[in-house]
Amino acid sequence: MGFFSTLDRHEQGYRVVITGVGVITPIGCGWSCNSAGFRSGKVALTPVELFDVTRQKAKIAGQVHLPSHLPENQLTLRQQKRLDRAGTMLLMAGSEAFTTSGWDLNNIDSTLPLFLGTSAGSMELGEKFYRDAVERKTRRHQAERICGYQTHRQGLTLCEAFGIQGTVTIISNACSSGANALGHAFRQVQKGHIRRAVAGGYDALSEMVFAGFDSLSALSTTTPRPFAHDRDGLGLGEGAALFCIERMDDAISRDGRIYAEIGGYGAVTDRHHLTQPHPEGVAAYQSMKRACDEACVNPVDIGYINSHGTGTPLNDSAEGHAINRWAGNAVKSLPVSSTKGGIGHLLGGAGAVESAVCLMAMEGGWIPPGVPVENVDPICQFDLVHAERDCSRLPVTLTNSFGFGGSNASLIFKGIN
Amino acid sequence: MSRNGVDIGITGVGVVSPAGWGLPVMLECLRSQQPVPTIAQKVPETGHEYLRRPVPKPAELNAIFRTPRLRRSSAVSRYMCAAAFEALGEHGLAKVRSDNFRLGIVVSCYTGCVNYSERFYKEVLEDPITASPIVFPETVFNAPSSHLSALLESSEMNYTLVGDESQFLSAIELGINWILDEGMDGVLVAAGEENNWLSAEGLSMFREMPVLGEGGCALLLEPCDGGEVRVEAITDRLSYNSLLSRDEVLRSMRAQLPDETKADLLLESMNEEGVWDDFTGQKINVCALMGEGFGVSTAWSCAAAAGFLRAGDIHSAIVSGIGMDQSCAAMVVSK
Repeated sequence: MGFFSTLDRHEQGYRVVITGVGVITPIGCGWSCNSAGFRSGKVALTPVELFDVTRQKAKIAGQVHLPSHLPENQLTLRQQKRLDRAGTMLLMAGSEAFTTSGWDLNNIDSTLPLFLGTSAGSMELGEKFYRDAVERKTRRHQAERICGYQTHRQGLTLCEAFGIQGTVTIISNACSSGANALGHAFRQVQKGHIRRAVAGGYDALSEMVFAGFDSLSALSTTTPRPFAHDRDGLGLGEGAALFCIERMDDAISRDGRIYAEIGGYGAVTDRHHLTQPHPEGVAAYQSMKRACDEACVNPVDIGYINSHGTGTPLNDSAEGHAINRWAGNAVKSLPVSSTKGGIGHLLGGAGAVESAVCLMAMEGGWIPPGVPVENVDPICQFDLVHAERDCSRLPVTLTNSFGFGGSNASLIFKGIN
Repeated sequence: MSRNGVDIGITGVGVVSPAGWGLPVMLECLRSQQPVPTIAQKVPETGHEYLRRPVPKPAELNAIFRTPRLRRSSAVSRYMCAAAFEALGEHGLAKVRSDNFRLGIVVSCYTGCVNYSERFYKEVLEDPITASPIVFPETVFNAPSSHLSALLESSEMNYTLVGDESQFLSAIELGINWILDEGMDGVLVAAGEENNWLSAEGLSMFREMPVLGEGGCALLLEPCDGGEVRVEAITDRLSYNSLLSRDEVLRSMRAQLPDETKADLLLESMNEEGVWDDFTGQKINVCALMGEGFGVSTAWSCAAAAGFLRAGDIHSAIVSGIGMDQSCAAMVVSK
């Protein structure tokens, strides 16, 4: 129960681990194919087919190829038919996360809270609602659209699909939403408010959001190439990643598979401008520092940073400044890449999917390469990885998510021996 | 009720509502039980008409609206910022802007910046190449919270939570946790909504002739040592889904409330369905007087409860945040 709900409070906080992961991206559906794709630096940006972009400057995006069949679930056929792209991706990611967690959903002792990050939710249904309303078409499907458009509905549908009774929390902090949702869930378990949770982020491509980024001239009209000196913007993408997280002692006692421990979470607000980061990445520096302080690690301990690395001139420069300052003398040997050049910027899904990429790299012992860059921005004093690379050991990784509006978040993942 | 020996109080309250700008005018309206007059708004796009209770124009332009951050912002951002400045007052503003005060910000909303969203998408459908890059950023759910952080000069954590009438109570709970777990000195919890025909069109699918309200609300939460309005309890936010009937969920919510019968006042929502029929104290339905304010309705109820407690009108109140189709929660406050 709310305010009184602190379970068996532990002064130091509980150690929190990830025991289930589900992921769907433009590379494909599931851990294995995504792991192979990120390891090889696969680029999955293609001409936009979901809506008309002939009058837009940018023409490509990372589009998910939804499977023809849904995984086993408890939704009625009618509910399944009503799923939009975002809801379908959420269901795919949820199915894999629950399966890999080994949780017995029929015997979970209490409610299972769901923390989701999204920026656009079900914008697709909102757009359809608007178009039919102004075209004065029949109101036949409008009620179901207005229900489905509510972001919460997608979370509730996920719960219903897997028979879980859970409270849904939607965090909409723009591009850092997915990282905030995972970080927030981590904090809830760590502080003893809950024992376990499902958390992650998702977003589907939509015409309005695509046009919005295009209007800001934030989209690349060539090829997104984060940290290139001549970068010209980002590519948008879509996808979802969900994580089952729980107290480490619970995971150990049930002999669950542990992907990683969430070591630290830093969240800071950049007040500089609604759409532009502080040029020196002051908040980005702070969020990395706070996450590392909590995890008791130093920059020299970090084996890989999955950067926010959108590919816009201002973001990459600010993040580069922040990493250089934060890493200090350790910067030259610090492997950094952005996976957004391969799948696009997944907005609310970005922080979650990029967290999954960190876990894949830790499991496989490799660094995910960014897209090849001929002319690296001199801001990159760090080791910008843009070719396949294996490494024997990757005990600690960090992922950055820096959102529109100034919401900055960093997460640290630690391997468990 | 406290946790770890710490009480959390509502130490600042600000309101923008169809009754006007400020908490006192809303309290006056609620005391009089006179609904704010409605306006019939014709929608050229659909040919439909809907009823609304708009926020009246302020007697004088608030100086904060001239700041670069708010010059082109949405109504919902302006309502929230005005409410926040009222909640803090001059003294509070100086305090939260100082370097040694850690201020967290939690914003709760349901429909968000729907006017700019509508305008921008209309432009996109007409010709995306001319769609306004100035409008788009204001459509993002967390634009208002970003403006709040900038104006209050806070670099601390800032979350925007999206949800129905129950969400604001969860936002308060999150704020309390940030104070107790994250060491925040205070947390500003804000909500805001704005009138738009799309919201009316959506709501009309579920209610006959709804009357829309709009506005903002902000509460400052801080640790308190007596004399302030205290948050006594907040229930879980319980979701409606196909696994339990709505009735069962509402009963579970009530079962979590301690000593509820002691409350003098119940602030209701529009979705009660008889769950409080046996409550013997005074009841006020803020939406019936102000209009349906979606996410801000429950915030107004919280502000009203705090206002009546401060005025000494009551000793304890229950705020009922029963959402239309997502979830429900309730809070007890006292002084």
